[in-house]
Amino acid sequence: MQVTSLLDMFAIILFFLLISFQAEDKEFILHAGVDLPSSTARSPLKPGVNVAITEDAVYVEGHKVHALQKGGTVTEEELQKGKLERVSRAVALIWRNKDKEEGDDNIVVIQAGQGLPYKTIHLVMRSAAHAGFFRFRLAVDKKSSVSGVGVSRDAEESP
Amino acid sequence: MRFSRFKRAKEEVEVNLLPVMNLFVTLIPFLLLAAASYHVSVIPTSLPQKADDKTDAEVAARAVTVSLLIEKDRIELSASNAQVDKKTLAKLGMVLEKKDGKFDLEALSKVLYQIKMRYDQSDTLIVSPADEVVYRDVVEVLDTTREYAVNPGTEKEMRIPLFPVVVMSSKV
Repeated sequence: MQVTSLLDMFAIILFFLLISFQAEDKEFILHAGVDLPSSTARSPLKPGVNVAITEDAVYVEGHKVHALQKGGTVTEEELQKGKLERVSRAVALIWRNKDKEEGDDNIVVIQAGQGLPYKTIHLVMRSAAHAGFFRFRLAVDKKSSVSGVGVSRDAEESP
Repeated sequence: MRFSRFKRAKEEVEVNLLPVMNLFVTLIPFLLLAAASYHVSVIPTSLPQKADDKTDAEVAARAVTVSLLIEKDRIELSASNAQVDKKTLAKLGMVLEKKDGKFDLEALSKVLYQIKMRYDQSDTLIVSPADEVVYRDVVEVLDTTREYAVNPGTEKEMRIPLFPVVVMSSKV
């Protein structure tokens, strides 16, 4: 049986898949239990400090740093304070010790569950801002573009 | 005898490719499945920062900063620019109530497109969702404000960037 051509085809597909995987990686590991919201955004991932927000806690680079209230909410006291102290410290510490390449900016990549209240996400962002991080990447689940309202393409960089 | 040895050397040797085929057949579906479940992209945003405004006056007059206040039941839109008079800016503002339990994103998209046509240098959007607004709704609004599709679904479809620079704030 002549299988050489079939083998060639398989080899090409395999190379293509492996290379596309390598290009997409960018040190991004989706935190278990995070149900990302769907979006038409097409901006590529950029390396940064990974912060995951689940209904139970806030994780910085996979380490639990702050427990949240039921449903992923924060207390009034924390809101009044304007930051989550341990999140600020963890983000700063991770960034200081991270292997950085030339051109790497201090960016926080936020993975948050789609059902979380905005106040929790904003408080985490403010906590990172206290550590000198003002730029964020909200990780989303890519969905195919829908014709009509709000069709998206690569967004430009935020200041 | 010499002749028969020569003949044997010229015979083609069949390499057994079945194990390689088996490996490929196992690897490819695995990679395809993994690729299908790994489609992550990002929305660039930032928090408000103090910055020196060195924008050209002529350019500044053609740009407004749009603010969206996302409440649980409506979206309030307003525009700001120090070089544009308050009456003109007030005309740009509006309130979009929820329709059938959903934000009126189509109307929002059209309004933003009209603003962009009038102030073509605009690119910054300040989003201030209320505390109880769910993250999913915020992302939906950001998808709407990023780009506008002219003639959607046709060959002449054109996508115009609206307000790709997003600054996240919160309702005060």
